[in-house]
Amino acid sequence: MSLKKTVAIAAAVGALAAISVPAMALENEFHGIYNLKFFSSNVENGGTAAIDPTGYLEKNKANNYFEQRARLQYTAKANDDLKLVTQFELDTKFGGDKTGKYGISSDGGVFDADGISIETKHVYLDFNLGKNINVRTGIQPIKDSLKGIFLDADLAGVQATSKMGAATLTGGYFRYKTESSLLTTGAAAPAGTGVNGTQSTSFFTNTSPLGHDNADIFTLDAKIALNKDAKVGASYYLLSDYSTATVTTFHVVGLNADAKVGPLSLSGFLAAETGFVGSTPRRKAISGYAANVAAKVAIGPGTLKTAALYLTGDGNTGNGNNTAWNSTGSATYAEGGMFLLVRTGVGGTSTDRTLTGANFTSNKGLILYTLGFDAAITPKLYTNVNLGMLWAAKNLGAPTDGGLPGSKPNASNFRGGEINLETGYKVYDNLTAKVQLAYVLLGGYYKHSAANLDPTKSPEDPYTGRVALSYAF
Amino acid sequence: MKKIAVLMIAAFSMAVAVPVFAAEMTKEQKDQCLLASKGCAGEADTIQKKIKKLQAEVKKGTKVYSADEIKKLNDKLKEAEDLLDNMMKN
Repeated sequence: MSLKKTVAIAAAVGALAAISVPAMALENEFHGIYNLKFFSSNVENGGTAAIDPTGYLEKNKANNYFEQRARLQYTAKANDDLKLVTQFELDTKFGGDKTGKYGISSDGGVFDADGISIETKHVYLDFNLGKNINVRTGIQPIKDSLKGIFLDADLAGVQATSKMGAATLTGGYFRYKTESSLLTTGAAAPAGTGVNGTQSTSFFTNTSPLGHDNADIFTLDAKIALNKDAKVGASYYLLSDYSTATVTTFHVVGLNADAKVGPLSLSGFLAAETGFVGSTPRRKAISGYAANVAAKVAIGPGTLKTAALYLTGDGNTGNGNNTAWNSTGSATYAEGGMFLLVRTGVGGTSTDRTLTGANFTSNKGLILYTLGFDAAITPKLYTNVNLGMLWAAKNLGAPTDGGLPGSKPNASNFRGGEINLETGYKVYDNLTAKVQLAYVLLGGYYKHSAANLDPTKSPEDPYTGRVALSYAF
Repeated sequence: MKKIAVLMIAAFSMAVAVPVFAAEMTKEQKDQCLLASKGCAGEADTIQKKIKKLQAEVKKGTKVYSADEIKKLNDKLKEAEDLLDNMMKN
């Protein structure tokens, strides 16, 4: 065989081998989590409403129940620059839940599991334009740069991120209400009309075109890395809700920073809010403020952490101003590790009840100080302990002290102190069994304000005990 | 000699281009995939394993990867960590 022929054969074999390998493979990636929790608590009941101690007696029966949550995530990745991300959620309370989460259906916890459990978590397309611009379109997780105290939610919209050297600029637009979602059930209709015998009022008609009475959120975030260990950021958020007759607009401007100094990590933010809230007979001008500072340091086998958060309240609801911090309605503050004082957003199942609720908007405002230690005892065993103290920034509307003459509101701003403990053991790399305990010692703010208005009784201190299994893959 | 070299290159190019599949079991070998769910073809990484692998690759540093590639690996590491955080959140 001549060399030429041999080369030709070699080239042909090589070409055949080359075309037998796909030029571009679609990468299918599946991940997910499963959490199971058993609760024993006088205040946790599977719901999400804020805990109001004045609704409780001096002694209350404890709730006991099981909840589970699974999340399944599928990503269809065409290449490093293009992917579709989807995530679904399946929540179940053992025994079922018809409290309205799935309309008139129960979740799948009922007999024979015939219920609705699946919810949308995320559905978005994620793609790069060139080297420095990333775009996400669809239902995606959004968290503000203020540790979540204004906005931490999954929202439908478009977000673009651009990197220019040490600077990162992110801009987003999200719509969370529009005419087609503004369907309200009105007064009872004449028999035989409407759905379930009631009259549905629809904004979704020919005379009410889409896209005019929306609730929208705009975000703008800038971050600059000063060096490897220090970052500063500035942000602007706009919420504009034209979905009701009482129009609401929030403008939030914030500054944030975080830095590492040796073993010490520091972070904090300052934010100011203006705009107006819809109110009858006239709208109220907002002037709210928020501030936070936090530090953590590695000590021995763990991390010592401390933090303080301040959100303004409104001491005079009779005037034309609203000086309270107003959130989007879905806010979190995770760093204190509280279970019952403040919403961390890391509960892991449907239960989400705290003294300050999911919405940090309150005339009470909020002052929170936390101190905690996260210890990794062995690679498989950990224990976290946290202490927290919560005050109302404004005392207006404090519960009435049944023991005081003339039923005066309590003068103390101290709402309560929490101590909590979580200890977990890694059964496998991706399966953790854990126990969580929390107790809130109610403060003078709730003195003698038990639900039965007995002047000598204070509401029972909130507590919870949870046993959990957590699998992630 | 040249012919042998060229043929060897051809054979090599063929060998590296064909995807590697889990070896067929002989009559005497145990099928570990069926027996112990180990070494199955098409086995996927858990999110924890993916994070560990990315951390290990980032650690190799500039001896193995270019600065751009390390940045890319770091971005992928952050993405995987964010994914795990987001799945755990409410």
